Amino acid sequence: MSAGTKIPIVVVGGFLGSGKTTLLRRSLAGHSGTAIIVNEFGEIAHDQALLRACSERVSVISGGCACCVRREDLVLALRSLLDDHERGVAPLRRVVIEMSGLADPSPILFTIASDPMLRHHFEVRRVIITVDAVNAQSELVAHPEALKQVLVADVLVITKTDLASVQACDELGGRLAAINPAAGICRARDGAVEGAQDRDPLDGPATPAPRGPALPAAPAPAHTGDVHAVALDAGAPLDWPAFVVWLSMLLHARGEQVLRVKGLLELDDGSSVSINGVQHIMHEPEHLPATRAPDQAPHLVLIVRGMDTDRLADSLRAFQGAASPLRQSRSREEVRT
Amino acid sequence: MCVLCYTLTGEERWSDGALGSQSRASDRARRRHLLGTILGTYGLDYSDDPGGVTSLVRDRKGNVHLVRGLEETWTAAGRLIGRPLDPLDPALLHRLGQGGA
Repeated sequence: MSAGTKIPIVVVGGFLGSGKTTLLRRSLAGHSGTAIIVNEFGEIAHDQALLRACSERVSVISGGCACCVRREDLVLALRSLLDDHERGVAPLRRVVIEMSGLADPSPILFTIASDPMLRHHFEVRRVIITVDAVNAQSELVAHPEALKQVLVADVLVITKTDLASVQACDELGGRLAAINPAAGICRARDGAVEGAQDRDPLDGPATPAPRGPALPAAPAPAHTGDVHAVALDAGAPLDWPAFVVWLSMLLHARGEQVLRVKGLLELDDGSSVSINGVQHIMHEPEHLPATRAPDQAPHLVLIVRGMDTDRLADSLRAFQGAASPLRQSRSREEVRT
Repeated sequence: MCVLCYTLTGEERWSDGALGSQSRASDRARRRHLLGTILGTYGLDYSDDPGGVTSLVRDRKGNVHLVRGLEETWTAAGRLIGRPLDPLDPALLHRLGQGGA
């Protein structure tokens, strides 16, 4: 099964009471073929009833928010859905996993990435995190779970914008962009995403349009406590073998400190590759068309904890620099042949 | 087991994913050379078979580890020198900056 035919999975999370279920109800209304897996905290599966009204199948994984202790349930739930799909009992267009308010999305991603069968049939298309416009500023300070969710998001949806001032929404948007510059940010009112009237906000491109031009060319950390988001400039085009050696070594030595890796890399053979990783979990690189959209400038963003970001940038440059003579040597050989 | 305790999932899938078939041999040679420089900084030797499937990491006391892929390479090298290899190690960056590769 090729990547293009895999069943997409959308992970929807957000802190307690941030509007996940409201967003899902609005997004799923009128759409068929979506299965929902709900990870409830505290064995109170009240959201199941709300979601059942707009989706034909809802599975509940109850009994705690720590997804890492319930991973096997997630595997079984996805395999059951796949079995029904392949037998024609219930055709499946996509799966939505709604996380509990305190859950860390990374074990969900790990569970899917590490199961050969699931990896073959499903792909995690994006992680959407709802952020409460009224309470998020204090939650991000008081609750590390809320911060972690923002860090691993592909799309951040600011909810309850009708209950907060425009200034408060703008300030929250700025803070979210500083914490996770790799994520797309949009706003929702009563579960309806602004600017998405004609389409399902859970659909869309595999990754939000990179905001490459807005990223600083040189490392310019935006931080929350000891967490830093840094845009690295390795110079373009990038030497892929040297980059792989560098990233692999970094994740092996300091994987717990690397919360997020996301980038659009221009390689020295003229191709472009999108990379996406959450902690130790690297997704397969995605080849992009030779002609990119104007806003898809090459970029590389790492979100790290407790790491010297200047030295991180120096390290990437050193690895790329060490590969340059070899790259030039290869080019000369290709010219001769 | 906590997710953080697992090693990088399927390293070969992501690290080789962007290589075109024509450039695989060349890229593998460049990767081998760079790994040789990195491990050489710590007194280790690195070599691989022509197909690049398996590699040998050895120290100067004659200890040898047979490895597959980068993840096992870092693990083996860390065991041989008694600590993890760190890409932010100033000594390594200095060596790479000297054109060691």
